[in-house]
Order: sequence, then structure tokens, then C-alpha cells
Amino acid sequence: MNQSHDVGYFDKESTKKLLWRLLWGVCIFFLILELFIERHGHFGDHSIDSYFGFFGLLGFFSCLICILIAKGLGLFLKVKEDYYDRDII
Amino acid sequence: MIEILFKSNPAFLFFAGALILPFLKGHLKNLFAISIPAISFLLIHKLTPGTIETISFLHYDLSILRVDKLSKAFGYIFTLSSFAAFIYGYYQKKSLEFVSTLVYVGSALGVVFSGDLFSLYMFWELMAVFSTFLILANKTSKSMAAAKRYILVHIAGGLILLAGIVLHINATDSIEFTRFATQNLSTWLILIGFLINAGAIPFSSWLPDAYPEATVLGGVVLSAYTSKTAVYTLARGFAGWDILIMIGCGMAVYGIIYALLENDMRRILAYSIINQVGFMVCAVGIGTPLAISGAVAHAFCHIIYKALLWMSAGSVLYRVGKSKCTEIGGLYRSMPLTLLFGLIGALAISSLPLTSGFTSKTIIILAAEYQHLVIPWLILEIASAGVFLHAGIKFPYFVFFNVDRGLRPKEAPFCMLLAMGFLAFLCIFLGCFPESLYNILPDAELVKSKMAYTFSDIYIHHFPKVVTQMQMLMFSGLVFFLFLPMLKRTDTISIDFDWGYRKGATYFYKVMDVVLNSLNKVADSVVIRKFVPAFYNLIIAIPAFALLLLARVTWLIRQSSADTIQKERLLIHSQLKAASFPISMSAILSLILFAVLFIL
Repeated sequence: MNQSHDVGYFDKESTKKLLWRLLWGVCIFFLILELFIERHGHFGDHSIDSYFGFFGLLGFFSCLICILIAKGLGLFLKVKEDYYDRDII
Repeated sequence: MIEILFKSNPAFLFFAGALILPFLKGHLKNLFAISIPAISFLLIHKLTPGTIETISFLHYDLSILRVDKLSKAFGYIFTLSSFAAFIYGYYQKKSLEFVSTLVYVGSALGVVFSGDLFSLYMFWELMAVFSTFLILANKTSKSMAAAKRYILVHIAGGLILLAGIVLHINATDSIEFTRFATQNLSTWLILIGFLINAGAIPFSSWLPDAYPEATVLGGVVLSAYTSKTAVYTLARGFAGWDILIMIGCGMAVYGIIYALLENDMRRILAYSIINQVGFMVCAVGIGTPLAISGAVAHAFCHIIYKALLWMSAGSVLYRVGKSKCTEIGGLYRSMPLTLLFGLIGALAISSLPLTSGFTSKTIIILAAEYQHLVIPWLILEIASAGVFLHAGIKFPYFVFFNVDRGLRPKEAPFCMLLAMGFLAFLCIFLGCFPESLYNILPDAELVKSKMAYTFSDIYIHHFPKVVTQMQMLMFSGLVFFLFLPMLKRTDTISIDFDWGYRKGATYFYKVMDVVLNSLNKVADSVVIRKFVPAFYNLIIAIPAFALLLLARVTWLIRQSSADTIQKERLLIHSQLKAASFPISMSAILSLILFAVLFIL
């Protein structure tokens, strides 16, 4: 399979660029959209979740923390696939 | 005949089907398998809540059929998902997987519709046994080993459950399965038995260890029943037990972290089952009627989208024969429909608006909010974002996009596409029109009073909810692509709780071997080689000394020669060693002994 002549739509650099723009665009769109809606905090009117952009930040940072924790734990937990097949001692 | 069907547990229809199926051939076999869950679905629909059928066994009344809204909801989804699974498995021509599936699903229905602990336990064990065949049927050395570990864990879990049930019956003299109000040894054992099947930490590792080794169809079937039957039993028996909130939150986070570490697509999905069951266990822990209904609704939707995800992964495995993210990629070009259906499943599990996850997970989060459980609420929200990360994007991205590895398999077979299409339709239908789902929940009216249930209400009147949800998901997606280099797949597995019995047990054995055997060696050299001979010599020396003392007296009287003394001395020694004295001598010695005893 000669891939240099056979590049799929999603593997093209131009598509990737477009998708990146789309992703940023959607994020910003929903952030701006929040300005036009009325919403209340789930735990009272002044609870922290009523602040602007709370859910965007929550999504961003919780996922970032998950990735960092996974990466950190991976240093200790990741082992070769034949780990359990090897005899110990 | 039909009367009997309405008076017995739907499990028996599946069992009868399993008995007949091996004798059928070709399309008839497949169609017959599909018809069993279809008929059962209709039967369950006809069952009226409140029905209880009992049979006498020993001096207990077994409630072989108990119908209420909770059991009916699980009955609907179990039959619906097995219907889809049999359509998916139409390519399969051998009986083994079909028979195992029929008994396995039948037993799951058996658990759900049995009203007493005896019948529940019988069906519970049948589930464990027949699900094992779905792993064994893969016939690789890895699947054989995984199946062995799987059945051992479930036997252990089953025995803990049995111990709890026996103690409970002893204490209360009742075999009825209702909510356990008191916390004591018996209820804790029952809880642990249920939690093992639910894949709760720290009993979770059997699930990602075993399911990914099952056959293509086996993986789809296994993903639905064992853990969700456990959710049912927890909802019935342990609603409102606070510890479940903590366990559930722990499971939700644990599932995400491990799924992020995984390389095998089916193992990613296995960890994501634990993550999703975590939401349900947490809801059961909250325990309010709204939370229990939320758990049921989420189980219902979860079974559909999780089966869909396993189906799409199964189709890839069926066509490509590989399941590691490091070996597949770029499949969007040759399997676009599988991608489409898999993507719908991935979006549904991520609770994207317009999909079923959005209408079911929201109930659980709302229930947490009503109880002012701020930290669990926050963890559930974080876990929702994390789901999008590992199941919503990671799974489709690494399987269908990422690097084009030049794989150009054919699109999945028609039967697989049909089943996936059916479930994908349900994912979207329940996301747009959840009223039909809400109607079958245990507290339908309550849910409908608290939740929007018409399309316009959800997506127009409650639009702010849609905005915040989209915000959360899109920013999660942004993190995924920004930090993609950190998520690069490696050819590794991760150490999980099963290390305890897979490696830890061997270490334990080795340590015991060294400790006990060196103890043995010391004991051997000190006691056997030194102490025993010394003691023996002492025991011989005392009577020899006494005899020689007596003999010396006789030698003096007889004025014996040195030669005679030497000869007799040797004779005494040899007779003592052989313990053979002439009878007269023995008699004299016994007499002396008696005399001594008498004097003392």
C-alpha cells in the first residue's frame, strides 16, 4: 500500500488544520453562548458552579488532571505485556 | 401451556431454548436464538407488577417469580440487548456460544425476577458458570488462563454471598430478598458478594482481565449482564447504604485512569464499564427514589451504548484480528459504518446532548444535587468529563483515525451492521424522546416531575443545561488533542488489583516456601539429628547404670574374674540395646519397678 499517493481525507494536513479550527471554534462558541442564557448554581445562587465558564473550566482541568495522574501512575503501573507470563525468582 | 409461561420465571424460557438450540441447523438456529429474547420481551411486557408465584421447597416457599417495576425494567433491557446480540451473532454457526449466552442471559433474568435469596443464589452461580464458556470459546491460551481466573474469582464471590445468605436466613428465618436494613456480618458478606460481581474496587480487576479475552460475540454479551445484575441486586437490597457512594465515586475515577493507560481497545471498554457502573453504584448509595430510578435508567442506557461500543470493537477484531491501539488505526476509510455506529455509542456514553447518556446520567447527578452531596456531585461531573476523554474520543480516535497503518479490511458483515444500527437508533431515540424510558422506571411519576422528558422541554426550555454540558465536553475534547503526545500508546499492560492473585500469590508461595522450609531444616537438624539420639542415649544409659550397679554387687559376691565381668558387662549393654532380656530378668526388673512404685 503506497501511502504517499493514497492519503485519506482525515490524514491530510489541510483537514487536520480545519478540524483544529473547528474544535477551537466550537469551544469558544459554547463559551460565548453562555453569555446569552440565564442559569443558576446547583447549590444556591452564588455557589461556585454558577460562575461564568465553570463547566468549561471543569471539563478542561479535570481532564488535564486525569491525564497527568494517568501519566504519573503509568511510570509505576505500566509493565511489558508478558509480565504475568514470566516466572518470578 | 402459555399459562405456565406467565407463571414462571422468564429464565426458564431461555433454558428451554438452550436445550433445543443445539439440535437446529443453519438459519433456523440463528432465527430461533433471536426469537427467544423477542418472545421473552413480550412476556415480560405482559407481566403485571405485584405478581408473586411461589413453589414449596423443603420447608421454605421459593418466590420463583416476583414482578415489580424494578425487575421489569431490567427484564426489558436484558431481553432487548440479547435480541440485538443474537442479531449481531448471526455470522456464528456453532452452538456453544449461543447455548452459553442463552443460559447466561436466562440466569441474569432469573436473578432479576426471583424474589428469594435461594433462587437468586442458584441463578447467580449459573451466570458465573455459563459466562465462563464465552471466554473459553475463544480457544487461545490467554483466554483459557483468563477464564480460569474469572471462574475462581466468581466462585470465591459466590461462596462469600452464600455464607452471607446462610447467616442471614439463620438470623431472620426469612429467605425473602428485600432491602437489608441492619448492618451485620451477614449483610456485609452479601454486600461483598454483590460488589464483586459489580466490579467494585478493590474487586474490579477480574472484569478487564476476562472480558477482553472473550470471543467477538462473547465480549458483547458479557459487557451487559453480570455487572448490571449486581447493580439490580444492590438497588434492591442496599439502597441508601452510604458506603456505596464512596465506592461508586472511586470506581468512576478508577475506570477513567486505567482506561487512559490501556492499549487494547477492548480493555479500554472494559475499564469504561467499571467507570459507568460506578455512577450506578453511587446512585444506589444515594438511595432516594429519584437516585434509584436514575441508576435503573442509566443501567438501561448503558447496556445499549456499551453493547454498541463492544459491537464496533468486535467488528474491528472480527475483520482485522487485532485489538491493540498500537496495531490498528486509520480504519475510517474501510469501515465507515462501523465507525459511525461506534461513534454514536461513544457520544452516548459521553452524555452528549441528543444521546441516551444525556437523559439518564443527568438523573443521577440531579439526585446527588438534591441531597446536597457536593463532593460526590463534583466527582460525578469530573467523571462525566473523563468519560468523553477515554471512551468518547480515545476509543474511536485510536481505532479509526490516528495513524493509517495500511489496513483495508472489508466493512463489517451485514448482521453486525444491522444490530449496531438498531442500538445506535435506540441511543439517539432515548436521547431525544426519553419518556418511554422514564415510564418504565420504578418511580416514573417522580422522575417525570423532576426531569424534562419531551424533546422541546429538554432541548429548548432547558437549553442552559445543553450549553453547560457541551462546554464541558468540548473543553475535555480540547484537552485530549492538546495533550495527545502524552497519551501516545505503548505496548504495555497496567498492573491492577489482580496483581494480588496473579503475582502476589506466587510471591506469597515463594516466601512461605523459604520460611517454612528453612524452619523445617532447622527443626530437622536440631530435633531429629541431635536431640532425639541424645535423648535415646540418655534413656538407655539410666537403666544400664542401674543394672550395672546391681551386677557389680553380684560380681562382688561371686568374686568374678575380670574376664567374666567384662563379658557380662557387654552382654547387659547388648541386651539393653536390643531390649531383649531373658524372661526371669524381665520379671525381676518388673518386680523392682513395682517395689519402687509401691515405696513411692
